[in-house]
Amino acid sequence: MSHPNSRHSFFNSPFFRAIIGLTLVTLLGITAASLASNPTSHKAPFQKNVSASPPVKVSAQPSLISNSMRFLAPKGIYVVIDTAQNRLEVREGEKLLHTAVASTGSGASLQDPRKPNKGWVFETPRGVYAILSKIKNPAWVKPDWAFIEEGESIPTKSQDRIETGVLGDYALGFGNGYFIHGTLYTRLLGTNVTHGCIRLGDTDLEYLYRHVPTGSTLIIY
Amino acid sequence: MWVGLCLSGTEYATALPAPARKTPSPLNMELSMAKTKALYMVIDIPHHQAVLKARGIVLRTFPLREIDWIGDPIPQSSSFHLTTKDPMVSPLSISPPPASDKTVEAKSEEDQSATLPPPKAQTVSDMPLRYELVFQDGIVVIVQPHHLPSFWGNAFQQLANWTGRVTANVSTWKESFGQPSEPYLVLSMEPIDAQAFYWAVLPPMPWLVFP
Repeated sequence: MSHPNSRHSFFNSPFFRAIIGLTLVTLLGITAASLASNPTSHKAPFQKNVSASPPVKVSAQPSLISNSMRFLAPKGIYVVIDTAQNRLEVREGEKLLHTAVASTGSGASLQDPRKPNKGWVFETPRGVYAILSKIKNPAWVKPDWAFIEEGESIPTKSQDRIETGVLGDYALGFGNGYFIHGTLYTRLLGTNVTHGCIRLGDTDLEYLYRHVPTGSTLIIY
Repeated sequence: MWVGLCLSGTEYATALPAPARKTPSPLNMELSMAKTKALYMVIDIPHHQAVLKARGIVLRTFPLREIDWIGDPIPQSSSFHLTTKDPMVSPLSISPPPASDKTVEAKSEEDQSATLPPPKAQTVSDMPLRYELVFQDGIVVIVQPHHLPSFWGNAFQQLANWTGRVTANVSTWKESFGQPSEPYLVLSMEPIDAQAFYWAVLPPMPWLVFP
């Protein structure tokens, strides 16, 4: 049978004090070793067990990436087209050189009566392109949909597809048959009416032809 | 006890640090998007804005009036790919006018279109106000108007917003049964911005979300 004060006497014993002292010395040693191996760490040594996820390493300096982003931005003059507001901007770096009212794709769809599975959606393509060609006095080579839309039969001879004087004085091509060109229907500028091409007024079109070199970046959104 | 303490201490002191997980920084993630020819969207939650960009250039900024998460928010910057736009009311499909209406469009040097009615077209004002954007990488974005000018329109939108939130909440309950569920990010915008935003985002546009 133990004495009621026996427990109290054990904690007051020199043996127990020695154990506590050695434990504290060991903990201090561990802390010192940990800080010496990783002097920049501000975490407590036992936080290692608390946090399960390993440290996240940032793989590049922000300033380097910002410079890379600047490097990726278009060089020289570039054109930006907003299909929602039908606006065209000519920019050089951060500088806005010219703005114009344009017309972009209507979003209408047309079914090919000859082939039930074939059709067209008249949308202006969006993304990053380049001005691939610049043409003076362009002629329109009418595609199949132009004849179907007008209720005409599709010609067999290619020369029957050519129509002059409808695309304005200049055209700037950006691939897949899409052009920035002029229009006879200036009243409709600022609205979504085209079959995918971008229409401009005569003055703005001439500005583009004279100031935007071939190879310039074209961003359509 | 002393031996045990010493052993555990030695083990800790000699333990190698866990290998650093190489996670690309938000700027690095954007850099990889800016290298492509695609337009991309940056949802900058701390600054309450969505930014449409290409090649690192800001094309348009959409102010976000309110941002909310249903389910667990994403813990760090992540990229997603838009798969579908799911509007509450789809914009009507437009067909060109019949050929008989177009015979009036005589082509000449003058603008002959002055007497013609404006052609049918899809415009920004035809775009829906409330819609869901579904991503292949496990996130759904709900876009809703912050308020509408008319009382009944506003009441209807509030009801639709509430219904959408309830549906999203129910779908996130799957997680309680051990099934993975995607988080919902609710973006409230001015009505005109919500419509323009619908116009601006096209699958498979990449998105970058900065939480």
